[in-house]
Amino acid sequence: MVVRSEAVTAGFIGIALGVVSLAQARDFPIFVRGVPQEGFMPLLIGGALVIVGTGLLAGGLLRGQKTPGPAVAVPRRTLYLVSLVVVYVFLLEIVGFFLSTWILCTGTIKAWRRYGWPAALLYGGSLSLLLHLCFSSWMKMPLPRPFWA
Amino acid sequence: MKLQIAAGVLLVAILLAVTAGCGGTASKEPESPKYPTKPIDLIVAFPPGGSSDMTARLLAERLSKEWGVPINVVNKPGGGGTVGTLDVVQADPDGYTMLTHSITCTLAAATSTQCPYKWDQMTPVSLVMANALVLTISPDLPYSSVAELLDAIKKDPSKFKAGVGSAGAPAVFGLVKLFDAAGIDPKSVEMIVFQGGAPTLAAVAGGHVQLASQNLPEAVSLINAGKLKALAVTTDTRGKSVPNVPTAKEAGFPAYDQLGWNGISGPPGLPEYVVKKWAEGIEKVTQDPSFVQKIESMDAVVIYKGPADFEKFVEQEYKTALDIAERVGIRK
Amino acid sequence: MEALSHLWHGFSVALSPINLMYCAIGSLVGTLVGVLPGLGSTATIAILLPVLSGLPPATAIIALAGIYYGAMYGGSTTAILINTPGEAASVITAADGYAMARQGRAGPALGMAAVSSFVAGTLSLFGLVLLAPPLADAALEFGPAERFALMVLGLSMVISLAGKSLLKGLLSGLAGLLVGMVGLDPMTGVPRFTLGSPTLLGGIDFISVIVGLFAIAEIFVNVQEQTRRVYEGKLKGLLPTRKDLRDCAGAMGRSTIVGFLLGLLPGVTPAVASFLGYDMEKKFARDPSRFGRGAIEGVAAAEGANNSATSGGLVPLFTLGIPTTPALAVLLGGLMIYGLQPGPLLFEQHADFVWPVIASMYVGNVMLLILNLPLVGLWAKLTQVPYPILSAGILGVCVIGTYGVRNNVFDVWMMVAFGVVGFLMKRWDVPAVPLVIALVLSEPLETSLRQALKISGGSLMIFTRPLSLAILLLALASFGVSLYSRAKEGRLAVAIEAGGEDVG
Repeated sequence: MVVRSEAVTAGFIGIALGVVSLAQARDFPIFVRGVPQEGFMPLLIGGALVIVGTGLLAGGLLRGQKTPGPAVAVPRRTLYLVSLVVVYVFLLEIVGFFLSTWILCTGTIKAWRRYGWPAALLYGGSLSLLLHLCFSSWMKMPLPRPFWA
Repeated sequence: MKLQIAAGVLLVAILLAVTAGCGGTASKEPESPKYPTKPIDLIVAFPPGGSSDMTARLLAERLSKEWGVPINVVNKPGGGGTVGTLDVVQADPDGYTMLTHSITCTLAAATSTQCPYKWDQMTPVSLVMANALVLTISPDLPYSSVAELLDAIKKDPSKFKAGVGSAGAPAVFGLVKLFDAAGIDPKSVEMIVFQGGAPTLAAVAGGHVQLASQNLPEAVSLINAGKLKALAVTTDTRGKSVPNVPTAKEAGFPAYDQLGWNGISGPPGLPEYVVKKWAEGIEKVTQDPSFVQKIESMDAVVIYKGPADFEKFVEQEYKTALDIAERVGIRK
Repeated sequence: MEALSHLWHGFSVALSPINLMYCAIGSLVGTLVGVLPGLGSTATIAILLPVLSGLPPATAIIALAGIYYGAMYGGSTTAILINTPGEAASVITAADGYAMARQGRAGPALGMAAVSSFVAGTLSLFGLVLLAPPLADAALEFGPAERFALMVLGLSMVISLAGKSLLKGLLSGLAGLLVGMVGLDPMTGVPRFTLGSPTLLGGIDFISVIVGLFAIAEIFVNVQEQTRRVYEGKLKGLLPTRKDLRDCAGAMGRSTIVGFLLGLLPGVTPAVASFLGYDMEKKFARDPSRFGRGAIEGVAAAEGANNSATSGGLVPLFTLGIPTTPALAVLLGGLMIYGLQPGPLLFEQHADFVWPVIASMYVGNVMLLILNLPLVGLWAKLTQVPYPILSAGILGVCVIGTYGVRNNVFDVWMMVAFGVVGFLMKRWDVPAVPLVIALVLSEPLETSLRQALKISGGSLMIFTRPLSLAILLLALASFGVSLYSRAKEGRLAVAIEAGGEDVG
């Protein structure tokens, strides 16, 4: 997947958001005796978004904007980290804060090539232990608990 | 390298020890009438600092000393009180997740067709406290009694705007009851919604709106500073910090009786022994003079109602609110 | 003057060992709390209130005030070091502060934040002492129409901070306004943009957005580039130089005044004050293009404004009992539990309470400066921690902070989502700051507009009230100046980058 042109993509997204907003505006009254109602802002913002989006789109297409440099290829490491974080949030309420954060930290450290598994596990574990002790045990914040607790 | 592996193993050992401790005093056997055995979450459906939150914290402090388990007050604001309430409605009925049941939680069911829970889904446990609403007007208005104000409104309702703290606030219902009693069409006085009590009262003090019916605790300092004129309070007795303000009864409008209140409720299907434990515990706390004193310093009164009474009370509040909401058109 | 003799007496009480100790503890706890994104002073104060209830009232309030101020400071520390603003008030600090950190100037940034906060805090406390009652009364005149005008002024910043492409900046700002609308309609309580989900009824918490767009997105970018440290190489000096201090003197002074006046107004939070203080500084600067890229005056202005707004907020709280922000509402609750009724009577009846508290706020400011300046070196070293480990820690802290706002995993999901959004925005060169500004302003903007028009019965004449009109004209001027500067920068850029490069 190659990003063709940032302005074009941003423009599309702008238009899409604008349409969503306009759609929502349809469900509500806009004005009642001169007083704006729930639908007013969505209408205004939606309209503006469509205009701005179209402007970006047009600008991107007309000016034939160059692709933005070498960072065009799929950012694999970022994708890995994003997936890790997503899995992490799922795990949070299943195995609890401490365990899932340990996994997260370990995995994050591993995302940089410089560390091997033992070091990553060690640092990961210490970090999550520190966080757990500080915020859960000491400050008694109600962090997610494992399903067996 | 070996050292790192050893350290890793050690860490795993610590991990297991800690996770075991994670669950608090993990009770090994299934729920038995021995309750409570582990920490309880007391949910407040509003941000910290409001009367719901304060009541919960004061209650939690005492009950946890009584019962020997931590009671965590957990704030889950959002949706005007519906997010936190829904959380409790969906929780396991094991007594370890309870709700600080504020009047707003019940009113939300009456004012909003989109309310994600039904008014009678919760298991009512007890009423704990209630506070008066106070009718306030801008200081430069020439009225010094409720009757005078209402007369002026009758003559020209369009000149009067009322401020309220939220679309479904007790304030709205208080004003409607008052207007009904005076023969004024509630829809003829525009109600402007502000974000909470403080901005509402500031708007009245600044003359941007003419009147408001907010919780007494929120208004006391402005009243005593002379920035607001107070015409009546909704309780049967005068407020301790505003002794010069007549009660609604004294002012001739006993129908203006809307109160704000807070109680405790649990998820649907809460077992009898949990309800009993809480009700008894709360009853004891409400008789403790220092608890009473702290509640009164918030300009509220301690009112205890047991489970059966509270259930009837909630039903009554809901039905009255529903009727008003539909009649005046606030139910959306 | 009687006030000064009261103040003197107040100092003698505030400097008593017990009160000093609690002041220090409060400041420290506050700083720690502020470092954590999300868990704000509001929740901490509420949580600690029962714990402190055993203490004499003055001591307890001193501790709480220490937390409040400390949290302000802690939030800016992480904003500068790891691009993780702890709350809305630190967002603008992150803009220039983090840029400075990446240039090896984390120390001067932190130091300037501390100094600016101290100067602002001190000066504004004098404002509090000398001007409180008349100012509070004036603040009541500030109604919905005036607030709307102020929010429009705030929005004008979007133009100013849009970066190279105005359209992208507008896109970002509009998106922010849109995100702010998710949830219940603030006036009528009906759900908007909630797609039937009960959790979305509560809206998208802005901490999730801020943390996601700034902290998480930064990590997502850095992992791809395998960044080794926030700053490699030797740190260039640990404290602001004399030149830095001289450059920022004007910024500190102006932002203090602006922040204090804004903080007085109901509904205007230190965050909004920091936006406007920063923007004003940018307009006064000789070379506005430096702002956003590591201009130390930006840090000074943002921090000065938000700190003096913090003190400004105490004016209506003490004199009228009106809290202008949620944290102050909790403080108010605290006062009431002690039976202390705010209002002018507070000054008369409880002089033995009020003056020590005010004095200790000053002491607190001094204490924060003394505690934090030496630590600046230590904090700055954080920029040299190996990034893999640092980022893991940041992720953990961000999750805790975001979750802790409403104890809802949904907020953590939002943080991740906005992290991805932020990453994409960085790739596509869409600025994130306008989104955040617009998000913060979204609700008050809409609310005050609808309130004003409801009061006036649909007539736009309400905006011609003197104060409202003045602010609207100022906003117009602000728009004009920003557009003009952009045009100037554009021409300058074209002149420099001779050769067909896109100027947006």
